[in-house]
Amino acid sequence: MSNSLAKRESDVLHETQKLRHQLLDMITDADLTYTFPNSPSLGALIRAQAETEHTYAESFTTFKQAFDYRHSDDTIETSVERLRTWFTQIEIDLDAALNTLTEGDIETKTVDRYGWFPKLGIQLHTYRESILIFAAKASIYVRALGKNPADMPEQFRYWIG
Amino acid sequence: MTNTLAVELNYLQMTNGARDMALGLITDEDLRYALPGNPALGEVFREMGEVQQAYLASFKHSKLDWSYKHADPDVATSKDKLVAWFKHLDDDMNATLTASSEADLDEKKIERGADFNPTLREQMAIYGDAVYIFVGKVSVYLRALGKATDQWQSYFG
Repeated sequence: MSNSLAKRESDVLHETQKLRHQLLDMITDADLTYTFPNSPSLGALIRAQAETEHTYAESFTTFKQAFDYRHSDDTIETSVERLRTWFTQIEIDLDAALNTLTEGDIETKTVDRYGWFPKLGIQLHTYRESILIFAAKASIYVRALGKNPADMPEQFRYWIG
Repeated sequence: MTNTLAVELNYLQMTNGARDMALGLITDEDLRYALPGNPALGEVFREMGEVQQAYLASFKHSKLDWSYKHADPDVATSKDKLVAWFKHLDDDMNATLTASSEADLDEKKIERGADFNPTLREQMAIYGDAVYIFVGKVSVYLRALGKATDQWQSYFG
């Protein structure tokens, strides 16, 4: 790790990212079609999170974030394994972007979020928050699917409930 | 209160504002709404209040104890009671943290068990995480109820 931000935040970031993989370990392709009234299916919820994370990863290179990225293949939200591969790629891309930042970038650069200009440390913090919010949403679906909370991975159960 | 502490406290207050925003979107009737396999929405709010009480006590006594349960079961079915409870918790949390020092932020340790003893600053951040996890859960209920406004969705999806 080549800069203070990556050194300080990588451990907790990687621990937080594990929640998505633990979620995917709990569900099947059939579960991805489950939905609530007025709500996206579980697969669409996970896809939307991955699209959001894609824009976060890019933001550490472009210093802009528009939240308008959409995966070109709608069937991505029907496959647990494809979603898992996608999240893994995002992790690789984000780590690479973070590790290329200089101390000057961390001190002075901001991300243009259309009216809000967080510094890179704050941007990474909001990325992590987005994962926690997503995991909490997904936990409601997992319980509705009848998965036994006692069978949840320990970290997922302890962190998210 | 020092500058750094003021920044951390301001962040906590903004985080609690997400909870208040959710409360502003619902009625007493909504608090009885439950999704399959999940508690009623009011119980989700009650649990958040109990979590906040546990964190508040940890800021005061340097030890996190999850045993607190609200004595009044009606609190989970009354928006007015929840609003009053959260205001009391917020006021107490603000007063407690405002009375802390800059040194407390990085020197005061909170005993959470299992040899995990974060600093006050870290404990405040973990409390913020707990609020966002609560917000994520509530967001699913708000959507299902048709109560997730455009503003809510722009903030929390």
